[in-house]
Formats: sequence, structure tokens, C-alpha cells
Amino acid sequence: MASKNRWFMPTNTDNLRMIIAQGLISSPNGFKKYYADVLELFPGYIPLFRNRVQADILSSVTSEVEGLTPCIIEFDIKKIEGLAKTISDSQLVDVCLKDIDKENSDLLLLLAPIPLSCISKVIFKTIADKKAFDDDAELYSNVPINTLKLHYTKIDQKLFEAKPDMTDYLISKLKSMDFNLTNIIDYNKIYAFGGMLANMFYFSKNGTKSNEAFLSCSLDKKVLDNDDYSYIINYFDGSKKLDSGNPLYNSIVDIAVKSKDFKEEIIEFLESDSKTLNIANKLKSFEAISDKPVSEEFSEAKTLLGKVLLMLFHRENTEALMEYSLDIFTEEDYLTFAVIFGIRDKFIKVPKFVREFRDLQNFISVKMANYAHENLNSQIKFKESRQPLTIMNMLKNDRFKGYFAKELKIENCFQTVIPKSDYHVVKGKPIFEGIVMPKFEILEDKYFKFISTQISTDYNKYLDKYNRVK
Amino acid sequence: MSKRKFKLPGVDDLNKSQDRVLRLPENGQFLIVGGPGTGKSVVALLRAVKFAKNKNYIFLTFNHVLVSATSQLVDTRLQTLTLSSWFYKLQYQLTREYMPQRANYKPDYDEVIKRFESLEPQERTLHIIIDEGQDMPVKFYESLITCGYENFFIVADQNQQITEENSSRQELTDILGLDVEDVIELTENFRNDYPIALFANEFFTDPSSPAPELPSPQRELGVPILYEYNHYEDCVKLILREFDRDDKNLVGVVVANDDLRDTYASALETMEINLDNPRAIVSTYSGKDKTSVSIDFSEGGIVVLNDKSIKGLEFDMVFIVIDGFKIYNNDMDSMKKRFYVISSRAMKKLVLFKSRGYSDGVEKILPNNENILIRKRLNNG
Repeated sequence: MASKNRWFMPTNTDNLRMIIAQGLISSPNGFKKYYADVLELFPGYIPLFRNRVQADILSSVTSEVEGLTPCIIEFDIKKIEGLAKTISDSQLVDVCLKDIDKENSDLLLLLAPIPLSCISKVIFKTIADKKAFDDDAELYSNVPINTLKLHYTKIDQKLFEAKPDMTDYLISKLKSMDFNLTNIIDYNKIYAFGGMLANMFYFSKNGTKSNEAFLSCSLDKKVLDNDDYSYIINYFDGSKKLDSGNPLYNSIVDIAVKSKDFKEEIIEFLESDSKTLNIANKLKSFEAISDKPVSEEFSEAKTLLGKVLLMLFHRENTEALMEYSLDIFTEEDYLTFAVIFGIRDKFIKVPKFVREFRDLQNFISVKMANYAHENLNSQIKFKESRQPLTIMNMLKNDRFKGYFAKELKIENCFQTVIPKSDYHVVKGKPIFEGIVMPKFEILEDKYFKFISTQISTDYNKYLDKYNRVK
Repeated sequence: MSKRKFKLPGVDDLNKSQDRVLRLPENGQFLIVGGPGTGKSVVALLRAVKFAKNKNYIFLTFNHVLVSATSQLVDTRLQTLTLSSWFYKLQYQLTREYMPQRANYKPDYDEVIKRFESLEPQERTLHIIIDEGQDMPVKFYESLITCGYENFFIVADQNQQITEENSSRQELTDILGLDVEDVIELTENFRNDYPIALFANEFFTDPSSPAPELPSPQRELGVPILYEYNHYEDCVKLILREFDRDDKNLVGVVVANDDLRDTYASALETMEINLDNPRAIVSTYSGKDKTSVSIDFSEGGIVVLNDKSIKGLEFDMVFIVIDGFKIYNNDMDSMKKRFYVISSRAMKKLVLFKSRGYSDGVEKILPNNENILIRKRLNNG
């Protein structure tokens, strides 16, 4: 029986860190910082090599500067459906991924991007390289290793020892090929979508409305409400025309997706129209030295849009937003802030503790990759990753409710309802016939007032508890 | 009060030069140079965190305030001391004699070198990580090399020399035995917003090197302001109000002398004012205090310091009270150097105050361009 095919992509550990941080294996134009490697040889594609990596390809991944460390990403291509390409007689030809084992191709080209969930392991040349990568990940705020398998074995070390042979003229062959793609991915938009989804997941703790918005958006990138946040979210729904929502919101979201300096560009935009000039002036005076308390500024904002813009000027990033609360904010306010902050900051700036919530990183990575491929109209789809359970969905379980209320000392945010049933009183105690299960219900207003001021870092602990009691 | 922590950088926040620094091998001699806000201290701190597991390192900074700030802001417990106190301890441990001095707290390095030369030759593997390395004289390094130390990681900026005895970039390069191309330059300003960096560059004095690169993108929001005031209480009120906008912020108030330091610290603590958040924790320290630094850098608050103690620190906002700063003997360059260090401590906002009628000369070095420094009266002062 033939041994199982393995599919590899070599790179260097600096790019690998960036891949983890951005949440996708992308083309070089999807990297904010990129070191020359094999990806630039195949513009728009992710090249996978079968069972071995040729010597010249391997040496190219550490060629840019001294000191780069090579590594090899191994893929689980069973998580990918559809058509890929291979090179035959210097031409790109289609291959069906489900038949790939029957094909004789040593090189597979997948349209970029690919989600992190398709990485089965990362192979290192030495055990010291593996340890250094693992240790160094702690020096960065956005390289959570999570479930990524870091791997070293003597057998796989041989992958790094390929000797040049007759087939090693691939690089020169590739340079003469035309990889021009007609559809170019707008990576800013993809990462903005991922940032938004991650923030919505975090803020789904706040109540039913936030929870339903996350669930609906993660299902088909839209929400059906007519609230301000729905105008923003529906920006990503390809089935709608951009001007069908709220034009002002669309422009703000557009700037949030594309801008390098949001504050400066939003002021410029608002100043360009006499109808929004007063909003621009208000934001400029908010940004300057002001004698007015911030709470007063928010109280005076007449619309949610006004509050959203103030918040975008007031808090630097999502983490700072999470730490900020005012009594006057509603659940809808927080949800709208979360959505627009996620878009402005992108997936790469999602706080590390959120990315460490179990299943979240891979779930969003797949969502971003599938969204990118929908935009490309490609024939590739990635197997959905397990959807992380929201706190609000966990709270549908009565036993978990009891635990959660006690753990956070918020029993006053719940009430107990005894089902209608006959009972009699003995020594002052009501006695019911048979088994009567009380129901715990959330008092949403009280619960929201509490939970919206809390930073929830203990998601994994709650999930463990939920899995035990459900 | 909100907790604040040193924020580890994102992998995308570091540029390729900083990546190169993080990839440097453990052993050897390394010199990293760069202007304020270019992330020199960040890479030095990350290197210390990296070494924290094996413990064979020491992270040295120039002053007590910086030692305190560094220790508090990272989760990892670091082995950190001031350059001077570590050197005094080391000299005593190795020679069992008190430090030979030319004057109070001024070691006689020639004598120290003689003493170290007489020691048994020994390989010393300690990794010495030094922040603000330009503030020690070259003989300090010579002493350490004489007694066998080999592993140096020094970050420095010769434009931020605030001591009389210091080392230039060339001297540091030579003493470490490096070639010019071995020195790693960090040029991108990560700390200051564009208008603050533009303002700080007005005080750049080094004729032998270009002024540091300005951060991008270029922006107009947040141009530093010079307020002229009648009553200092108005300045205090403004500082409290600004802090109240985000109680996680660390606000630096820089003054010229200890009298002003006491005045501002006391008024900031006691002034009655309606605020959104609980009152700011106000702390202060002077090198003349014979007590340890009691500033809590792990929480938002207001820190009142003189310019010697502010070195190496960074604040979300900096307020400079220019009353009391005096230019002696028409030495503009020294004052420019001081203002270069002070103003580049601010990340997001920079405000200067001067009393009405102040005329001790510092205004001569302040830019007149309204795009670089806005001048206003405080409460019609």
C-alpha cells in the first residue's frame, strides 16, 4: 500500500509568526511585513509540495537576510474542497482536490488565502529552532500558538537536507510563467471582517441582542435588524449594494477598512461636505485639550453615529474599548462600537486573550478564508471549523446558569421560576408532588449592567465547566 | 484606578531592523542606536525578558525611576539595577575595596581599571543589557571589558546625553570592537504622534547626523500647545481634566526644580474639581530624595518629575512647566538637549505652560511656527 501523501510549504519563522498573527496564509500582499520566501514565486497562490521540498526552493525562504530560520508548514488538504492547479508543460492546469492522490503532481497551487485550520503541523529543522519559536511567541502580543502543532523529529529533519537534483530548476522555470490573476483580494476587507467577527464574539456576552447578531453574522455575514450596527455589518454582505444601507455609515466603514490614520482621514471626509462639517468640528474639539468631561460629550451626542465617532476618537483600540464603560451606554451601543472597532483594527489587533478563547482563532480564520474566496469567485471552499460556544448560549443551560451566577457573584441578575404545579405547605415549606425542576431566568437588564463593565478573560474556564455540567 | 502594563508589541508593530535585533545571537557585543521612540528600550526589554529564564543577565538603566518603571511594567521578574549602583556593587565584590572616586558618585575609572587588571583573569558569561548606554563614559565599558565581561547589548542615542561624562556612538562602536556596519540603527519613530515628533526635532542638536525620521502618517491633529497662564491653578485644573478623560493614561508633569515639583504635586492631589473618574494617583520623585522610588507605573496616574528623572520613560501625555528652566551662559544647545529628551517622552499629547511675564530665555528655543507649536492663553490668562 502506498504511503500517504504529505503536502508541504516551506517558509521562515518570521513569516510564520506573521501568518499566525494575521490569521491566514496569504499571498505576500496580505502580509504587513514580509520576508522573501516561496510565496512570492507564485503570486496569488499558495504552493504545496508533495512529500519533499526541493533544495533551491528551501534555500529561497531564508535568502532575504542573515539569521532567518527555515520551517515547513504541513497541510491537511482534506479540509479543502474544490479545484486547485498544478503546472504541466509550463502551463497551469486544474486538478480536483478530492482526486489528488490519483494525480501524479508534485506541486499543488491553491488560490490564496488558506486558513490556519488547514495547518496540520509546523516542522522545524532542529529541536532548538522549535523551542526558540515557541519561547519567542511569548514576546509578541499577537502570536498565540493555541492548538498549532510545533513538530520536530529526526525523520522529518531530512526534509531540510534535500540535495539539488535534476528537478531543481523550478525557480527559473517559474520566473518565465505568467501567474497574473484577474481578481485581486482586498486583504484589508478580509482582515476587517475577521476583526469584526472576533469582537462580536467577545461582546456577545452582553445579552441576547449581541448574541444573535454574532450568530447571524457568522452564518451569512449579515443581520436582519434595522439598527445602526446592522448597517455596518451588512457592508460585508456581497448580495447588497453598498449604497443600500446608510450612506454615511458606508463611507465611515470604508475609511475604517482602508485608512492608515483613521482620525485624520475621517476628519478630512467629514469636512468635505457642508452637511457633516459640524460633526468634523466637534471631533476636532474633542481631540484637542478640552474642559468638558468625556461622559458629558457622550451624553450630548444626539445619535448613535455621533457616539460611535466619539468612541473611535476616544479609545485607541479594541482592548481599550473593552476596558471602557459608561452608565449611559446600551447593549446596542457596545455592539456597534465593537463592530466598528473590529473593522478599524482588523483581526491582527484582536487582543491575545480573546484569540486564545478555545476554537475562536481557527473558526474566524476559516470564515475569513471562505469570505475571501467568495469574493474571488474561486472554486475553493474550506471545511468549517467548530464554532465556539458563546457565553449566552452556555447560559441556556440551567446548571451552567447556577454555576455562572455563583462564580461571578451575580445571583441578583437571575430569577428562579417554579413551574405551575400543585403543592401543599408543611412547616412553612412548599412541597410539590413529583419532580418539579425550577428554571433559572436571566434578568437581562441587570445582567447587562453588570457584564458590560467586566473584562471577560475566563472564557476557557467557563467552557470547561459548561462541558462538565451540560 | 485602571491597571496598565507594558504592552508586548505585535509582530506587525516591529520593523525589519527591530526583527534583526531580536534575532541576534545570545553571545557577543551589540550596539543598537536610534532616536527617541524608535523602540530601543523595547528591544532591550524584550531581550531581557528572553533571557529571564536562564537568569544569567542583568538589565541596567540610567536612573532609579526607569529601573522602577521597567520592573513594574513587565510580568516577568527582571534582574534590573541602575548602571551606577550595579557598578559600585560589582567593584566592591571583585576588589573588596570601596570605589575610588574623583568626586562624590564619580568613580575614578582609571583606578578601577588598574584594580581590575590585577584580578585573576576570568571568563564572565553574564549578559549585560544596557539601556541609555550613551550616558556612561567609555571608561566604564573599558573597566568591564578589563575584568572579563564579553556579552554586551547596548542601546544608545548620543542626542539624548544628559550627563557630563558620556560616550559617543563612535566611542561605543570602538570599545565594543565593532565595525561601523555592525551597529544596528533604528530609525522609525513608533512612540510619538507626528506633531510631537516634529516638535521634538526642533531641539535636535547633533550636526554630525540627520534628525530622526518623522513617524508616518503625517497628521495635523494634536499639535503641541503652549499655554500662557495667570494662575498656576488653571494649569493644574487642565491637567486633572485631561487625565480624567482616560484614567488608564500615565501623565507626566515635568518641572524645572523641586519647589515647583512640590507645588504641582500638592495642588494636583488636593484641588477640588468634579470628575468622571476617581481622583488620579499623584506621585513624585527626585534624585535628591534619599528614599526609593514609590511611583506606581502599573496604574494610570499623574507623575510629577524634574527633567533628569524623566529620562527613558514614556507617558501618554506630557505637560511641561517651562517656568524655572534657565539658559546659562547662552548655552542653547544644553537646553535644547533637555527639551529634546522631555518632549519626546510624550506619546499622544504635549502641552507646555508658561506664566504670564516669564522671560528666562527658554522661549528663545521654542519654535515660532504655528504648525509646530500653537500658542494660546489659558482662561484668557
